[in-house]
Amino acid sequence: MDITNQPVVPLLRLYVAGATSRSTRAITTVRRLCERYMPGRYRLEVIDVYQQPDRAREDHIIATPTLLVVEPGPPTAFIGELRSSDWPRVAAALNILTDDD
Amino acid sequence: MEFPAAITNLPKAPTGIRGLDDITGGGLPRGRTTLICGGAGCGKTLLAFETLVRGAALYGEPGLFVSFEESPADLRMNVANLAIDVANLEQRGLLLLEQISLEQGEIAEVGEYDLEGLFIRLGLLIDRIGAQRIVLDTIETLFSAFGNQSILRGELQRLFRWLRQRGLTAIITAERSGQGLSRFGIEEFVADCVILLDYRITEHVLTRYARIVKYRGSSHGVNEYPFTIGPHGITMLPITSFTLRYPVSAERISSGFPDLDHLLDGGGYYRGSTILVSGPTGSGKTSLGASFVAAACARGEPAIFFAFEESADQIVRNLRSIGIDLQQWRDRGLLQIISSRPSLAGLETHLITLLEAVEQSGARAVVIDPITGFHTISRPVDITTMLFRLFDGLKSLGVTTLATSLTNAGADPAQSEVNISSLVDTWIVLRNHETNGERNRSLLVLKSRGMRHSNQVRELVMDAHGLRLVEIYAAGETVLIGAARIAEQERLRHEQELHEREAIQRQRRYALQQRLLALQIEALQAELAALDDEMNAAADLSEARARAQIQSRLATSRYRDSTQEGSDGR
Repeated sequence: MDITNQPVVPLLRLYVAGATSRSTRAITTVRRLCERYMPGRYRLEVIDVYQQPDRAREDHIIATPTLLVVEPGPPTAFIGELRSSDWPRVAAALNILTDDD
Repeated sequence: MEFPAAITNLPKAPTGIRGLDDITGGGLPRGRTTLICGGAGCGKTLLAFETLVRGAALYGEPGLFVSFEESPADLRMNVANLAIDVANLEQRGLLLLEQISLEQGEIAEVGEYDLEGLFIRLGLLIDRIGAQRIVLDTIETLFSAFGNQSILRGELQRLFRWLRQRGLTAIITAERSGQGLSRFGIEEFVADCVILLDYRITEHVLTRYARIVKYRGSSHGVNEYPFTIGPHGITMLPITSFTLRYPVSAERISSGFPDLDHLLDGGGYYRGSTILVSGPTGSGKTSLGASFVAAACARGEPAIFFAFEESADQIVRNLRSIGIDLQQWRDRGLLQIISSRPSLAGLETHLITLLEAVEQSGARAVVIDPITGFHTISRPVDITTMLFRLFDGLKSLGVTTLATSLTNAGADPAQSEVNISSLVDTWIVLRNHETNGERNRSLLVLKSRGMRHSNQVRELVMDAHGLRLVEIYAAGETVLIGAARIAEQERLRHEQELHEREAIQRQRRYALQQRLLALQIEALQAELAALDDEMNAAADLSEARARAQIQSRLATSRYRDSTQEGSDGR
């Protein structure tokens, strides 16, 4: 049902702030999203701003959670817990055609 | 007074900015958040930056500057022309400049979030230098980066609480909006201290203003305080000092003009007083000012002559012609002649430049020639305020100030400067008199507080020997001055001579008469003597005659007796 035809493996970064319930929820949601659109064919980095503040600085992150779609470009930031209604927007940023549209 | 202790002991963090600490009663609230609002180009960033830098340099309080807009390199460039060694402070770990950039290309908001990432990053930066002061410049950038206003408001509120918990003296800058103070109503929750910056342009000259809108738990100045951005950063001057307590001196100093000293109760001006010399063009104002500074320099006191109409060299040359050598004092470093155009800067800048120059040089005597030059750049009411502050500032420094004021030809100098007359201690009015095809000058001490001064109008004479005051001749309603005075003097001298000559003649006539009379008396006396002689001679003659008659009578009777005895016989 999913058509993944880009040559690069998509790269996503999820920034969270500490081991809060909001962070946990965000991580779970993003994993589910990835598995749904690109099962087994993606790279996801989960970055805790507490642990790696310099990464947050490089990526200009101040709000958490933020999901950064790094590849394929252009980079797009999704700020917030990702409601399921927002999933197609993430898919679009990943150049993934979905039947949700 | 619910919390009197809190009110009096509210800890403050001095900004180190001249004037701002005066009007805030010691600085910004320590450990609290201050909001600085203003439109673009009002000096918000600079005010915040300077507070941070001075806090680090003067009070050893490490400061963190977080910009949401400018890079540290840009910030360093912006303050490069201020006399502040930013690099040195950064090296010593007293200052940290950080840009928190929000450019992220495409951004979408997808559900709930918070700004914990910002908190974490700020926390790390604060810990890195042990910051005690922090600036967030400007908060609007955050608002514009995020769409969910309610989340943002909540998070900002949390941020300010967090800053307070960490005991940071924080400054948040915000763009001013048309209606409220800041576009997003931040002042509602950052409420400890709110400073509003503004600028206005009048007559093509820009003046900046600061006003403390709110200062919780502290008294503060409530006016709009003009400020300038100069080579030493921001300078704010209180409109007036809070009290009228000046060091009052009874010492008298010479006006440099002995005849004028004589009119001023014999002693000259009071030290630390303000003297106004008003008069039309060419009435001798500058000369009076120059002789005043020359006298100060001759006493070994530094002096400054602020010239708003002529160049320094022009002044030196012109005064040489009346025997005042200013160059010698310039050469010895006692006299500065600072020449500038009134239109070169705003009133506020002039005011601050003047006071700074006086303070730096330690000048004891100052001339401002003329104060009326400012009329071209500002409204009279602003000038009056500025002069009030200027005289006030100079007085508090114990400086004796002579200001000249140009009055329009025809206008009565005693009327035209009414608005500042209350500011001056001694007011000298110069006038031009045009009669008989020539122009002459007169001088009157209109007022001089605290001394018995002459109320006489004198003629002011200027020549190669300097200044002189000459008594004026009044002929009925008009005073005689210049050639008319000289003619009158001549006439009087002639009259006097005539009188003297007449007196001598009278004297001579009298002497002659006297001699004549004496001669007459002599003649009469001789006549009298002759008469006397005559009289005596006549008397002798008649006596002799009488005696002779008696003798003859006796002889006759003796004869008769002898003849009668012989014939009768009875």
